[in-house]
Amino acid sequence: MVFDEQRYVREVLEPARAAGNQPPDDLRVRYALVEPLNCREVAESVKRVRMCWRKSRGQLRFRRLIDRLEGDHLRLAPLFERAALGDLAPLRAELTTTADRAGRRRAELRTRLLDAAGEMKTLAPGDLREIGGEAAELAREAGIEIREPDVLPAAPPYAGYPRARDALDALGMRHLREFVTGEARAGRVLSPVPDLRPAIRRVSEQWSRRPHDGNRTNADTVLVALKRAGASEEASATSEHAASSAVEREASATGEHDAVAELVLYDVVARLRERHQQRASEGALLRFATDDLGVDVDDARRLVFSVIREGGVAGGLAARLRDLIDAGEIHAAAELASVAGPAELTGDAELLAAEARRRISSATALRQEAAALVLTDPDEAWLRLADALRLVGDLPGAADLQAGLPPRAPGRLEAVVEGTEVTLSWPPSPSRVGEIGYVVTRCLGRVPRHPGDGETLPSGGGFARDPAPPLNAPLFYAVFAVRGTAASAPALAGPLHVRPEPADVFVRAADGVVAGRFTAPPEAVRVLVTRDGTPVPAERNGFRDETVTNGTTYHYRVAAAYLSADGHETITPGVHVAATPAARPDPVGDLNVEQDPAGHLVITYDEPRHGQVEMVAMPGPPPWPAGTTLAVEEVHRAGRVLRTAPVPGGVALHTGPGVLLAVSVSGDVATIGAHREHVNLTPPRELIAERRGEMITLGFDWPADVTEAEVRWRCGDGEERRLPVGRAGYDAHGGVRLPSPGGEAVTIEVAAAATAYGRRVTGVPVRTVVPGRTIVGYELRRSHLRGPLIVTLTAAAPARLRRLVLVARSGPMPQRPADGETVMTWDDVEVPARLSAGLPRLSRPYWLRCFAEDPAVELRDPPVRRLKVG
Amino acid sequence: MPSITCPYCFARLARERIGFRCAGSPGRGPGCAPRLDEKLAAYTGSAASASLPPVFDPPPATRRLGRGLPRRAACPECGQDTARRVCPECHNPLPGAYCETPGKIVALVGAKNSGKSTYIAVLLHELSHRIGAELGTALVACDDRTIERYKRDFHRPLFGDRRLLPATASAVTTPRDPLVYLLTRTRRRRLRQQDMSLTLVLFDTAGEDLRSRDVADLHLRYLAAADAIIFLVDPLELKAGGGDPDAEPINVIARVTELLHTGRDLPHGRRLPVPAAVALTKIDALPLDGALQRNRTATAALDLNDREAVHEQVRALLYDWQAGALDRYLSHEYAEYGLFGVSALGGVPREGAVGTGGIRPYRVEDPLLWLLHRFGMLDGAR
Repeated sequence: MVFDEQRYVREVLEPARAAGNQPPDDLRVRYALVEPLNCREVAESVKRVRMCWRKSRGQLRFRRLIDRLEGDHLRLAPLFERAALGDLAPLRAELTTTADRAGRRRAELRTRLLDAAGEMKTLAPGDLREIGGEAAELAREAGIEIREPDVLPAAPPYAGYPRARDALDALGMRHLREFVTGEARAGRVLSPVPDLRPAIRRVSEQWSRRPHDGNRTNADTVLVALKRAGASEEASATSEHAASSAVEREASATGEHDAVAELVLYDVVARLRERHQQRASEGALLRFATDDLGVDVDDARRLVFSVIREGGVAGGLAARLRDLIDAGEIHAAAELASVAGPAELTGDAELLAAEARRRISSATALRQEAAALVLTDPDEAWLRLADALRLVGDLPGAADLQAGLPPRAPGRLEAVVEGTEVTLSWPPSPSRVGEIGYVVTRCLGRVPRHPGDGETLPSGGGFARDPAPPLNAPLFYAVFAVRGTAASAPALAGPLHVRPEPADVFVRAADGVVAGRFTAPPEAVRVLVTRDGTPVPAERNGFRDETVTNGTTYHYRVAAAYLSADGHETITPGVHVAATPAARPDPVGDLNVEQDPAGHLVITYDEPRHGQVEMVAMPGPPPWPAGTTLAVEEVHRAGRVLRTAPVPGGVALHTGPGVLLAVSVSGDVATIGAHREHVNLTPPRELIAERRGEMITLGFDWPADVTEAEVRWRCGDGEERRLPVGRAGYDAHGGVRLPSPGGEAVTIEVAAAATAYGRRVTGVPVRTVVPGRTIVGYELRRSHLRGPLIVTLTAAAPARLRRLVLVARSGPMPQRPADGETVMTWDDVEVPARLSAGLPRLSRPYWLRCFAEDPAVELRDPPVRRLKVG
Repeated sequence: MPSITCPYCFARLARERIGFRCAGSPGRGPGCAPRLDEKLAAYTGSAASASLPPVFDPPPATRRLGRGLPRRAACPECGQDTARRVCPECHNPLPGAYCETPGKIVALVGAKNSGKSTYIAVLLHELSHRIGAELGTALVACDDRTIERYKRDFHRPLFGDRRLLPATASAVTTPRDPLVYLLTRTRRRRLRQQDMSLTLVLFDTAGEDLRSRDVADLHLRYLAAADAIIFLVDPLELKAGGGDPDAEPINVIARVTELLHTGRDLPHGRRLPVPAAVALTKIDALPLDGALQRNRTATAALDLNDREAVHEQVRALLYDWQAGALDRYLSHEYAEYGLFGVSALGGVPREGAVGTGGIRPYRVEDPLLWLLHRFGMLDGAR
């Protein structure tokens, strides 16, 4: 078969180049192979095709394609060599594989196209070019529309559109078209739209009949926009064409119609642009256009497609120059302009190029002025360079020159030793331009020479701290002001020596002795202790001074001695402490705790002979037995010293539940005294106890926060008994009933109770005493029918009754001696007794009853039926 | 078959006439739907809580065969078994225990400001707690209205808020249900035990109600059905005298006695067979001695010596206060009467609130113990 080179170029190379220099996937096409394959023909065809490639490469348009073909041929060459030798199998296999590969590639390309086309299935020709390959063909197959974006109005055709838009929103109209036609759908907005002028007149008349209100005002605003848009078009048409022929009037009317249509279009486009700026997706924009605005589907796709592609970088020299100038790369812009041809340097490009050149000229002058000032006034030079760089951000050499201008040195550096630290401070550099920082360094035995010399310390705001300087060694500090890469001359301080005082100095005074404890710095050779100028023998960790008198305050100085480089001792100023030895405080023997109605605890005790009494609140019993003397700090750590107010015999205080410990304090020592457990339970109020025969009824008012109480009572000298009472039980049983046979005096205590510290505790009790009464019983009998009346008196124990009166009465039973006739009286009756009396002469029935005229005696009647006679 | 008295409408009913109320449809089961019970609505004066399953007569077969009181019956409409018995006249619920062992009805009457509401509140509280435990009695409310009213009008203000109860409004302006309680006690005698019950029907009757023609009918039936009556008398009213003649204790008692005579159709001159307990309230305000000053011994029996001593002491007090006419009137009109002294609060109140020490009732149970003894529910001891 004869190889037709021209045809090959036309049918193979040209389409491949048009498809983005994509070599044909099918090797049969690429190498002009003819089925069935023949070894000789394959070798011949490959040879011819490659010759054609070489020739075609001479043409610039094919160069890239041929390079690709040749590159690919290197991979395929062994197959053709095998084919030339008679083995076509590898070539056949490759033919199959390449067919599959081509299919995959086309599928991938199709996917890319669909992704790029998005939901609108529309691409711009430029997009296809970027994607390359057989994009156009595949796009058509995939149903993707290829079109240039529509040029949409960038500015409103009527300047007052924003007000009209506000008015539309206030009227609740979705778009301008709805206002004009009353239809919710915007319909076609890109294609030739129907003439809206009749509708505008109609709606104008409708609104003119409406009363003047806010809606009318808004409608008028919209109508004015519509009319003005048309009018402006008409006016311009009129001014341009003075003649008013019929043709021209028709043209004017058409222009008015177009202006209204453009305003309607702009209204829709503006709404889409807003959504687009709010990052709405393509789908959302399309839905907004079709569903919300009611734009025709085709127009909606075109509008969305165009809106999305708006704002892209326009090509051309002017745009590139603008980009560079906006990015501050003026020098680059000037360079670009200088290499551009005069044909390109027109319009904006020319203006931009001129501006770039002007800026470079000014900046260069500033740079030259700065260079002259570098040595004399680096700050001024820095400012000139800053101005130059502001004009031309990429001015060659300016930035480096500016970064190398050092600021002035900071003021005097002050270094102060504070304990084991050194604090540094300095006034700022006089230079006020540029961003100035400070670098602080420390060197041992010499002055730091540059910012990187020695140990760098963190700093900020004219202050630095050296937290761990070497002790007892000469220290030099330097602070450099830094701007850019340049550093000023240093401000220096030194030499300094950090020699700490003995730490943790603690002096305790006791009875006739003062003892001190401290921690000597490791670098110190010894510690010196002096008392009022007199040396006191001291160890490395403490001292003990027994040559003191109680009641005298002594001042001690505890200082450290360091060995300097020349072998001499250097003594630190020392730590000063005072101590007053005092006699051992006496413990408080006993505490009496009572609660006053205001809730204060009144603590009374015997004042100790030595020491001031402090009341300490503790969560539990003190860990030390009473009488223990210990450091007062130890007590304070274990409890809380309470604020007290003096009262006769003690103090008053307010505290929560816990243990109250009385501590006698004298100087630095304290002696543990008595303690009392205290529960902050408000005592019950208004205790009422009434004797009701063999029972005492007890009542009291419950404090609001108390739900349990403990009643303790004791009859005479008997054993104390306890009864827990709950509030609910108290209410259910109507108070408390205490058995009290015998009429003895009863002492009753009621205390609020609660569970604390895992056990039952009671508060301060309230006490009352029910006075005792001697109970004397009596019986009235007659020994025989006409015998005397025998009065038998009995009592649990012998008693004496001051006066006994026997009374008789008809009618109701006498309640007091005066209620009836006195039958007999007896004085100073010793009980038990047997007395006799004559019966009164009264008509029966009548009552006989005895009364005791003795406040200490309660006379108990026998059953009343025995008191009735007759 | 003996009859019972409905503790709500006081209608005398043959026991075989006691109706049933359908159990309705508990949960989602079958049963009659609620409907307006007009009789119950007429009694309560409101249809608010009268929407209930229907009431039906007891099965006629039971009546014909003359068996014991049927405890259950099948609803003729839905066939559901029910044990809810109701009064056929007013459709109020009747407790099973009351139907089977009809109890005694105790009526409570007092003049205005005699402390009736406070006494009722405290007596019921004591019967539920201290006295109930001492006597071994059980006190249960017979209906939900009683439970709710006691809690709302008596217990919550007095025991919860510690406020004194306000003066009771007239039943003419404020219709009220009675508080109906069943007090049951098991009495053991000679190796056998007997359950006995007492129905406490407590009308918180304002004194002026007893002279109002509008409500006299209900009170007439109430008093006519009462097996015993407790009169509450304010001793301060007796001592002071000279106030509103209508509120004078003897006039109140006389008016009630007249109603009792009328209700029982008893000719004048014959003593009423109804035990009357006349209790002086607020005795904590009096200087006490003698038996009234002593507490009752806490036993499950009535101390007869103490009872007699208190009676005589109160009687003497009446004569002291020139109110002996009351004693004489009672002795003429009542076959049995007892005089008592009680204190519901146990102390003098202060500024509308309960006084110091809270509520400490004193001898409030005495009248009831005496009545229980009269009815054979409580032994007497000397």
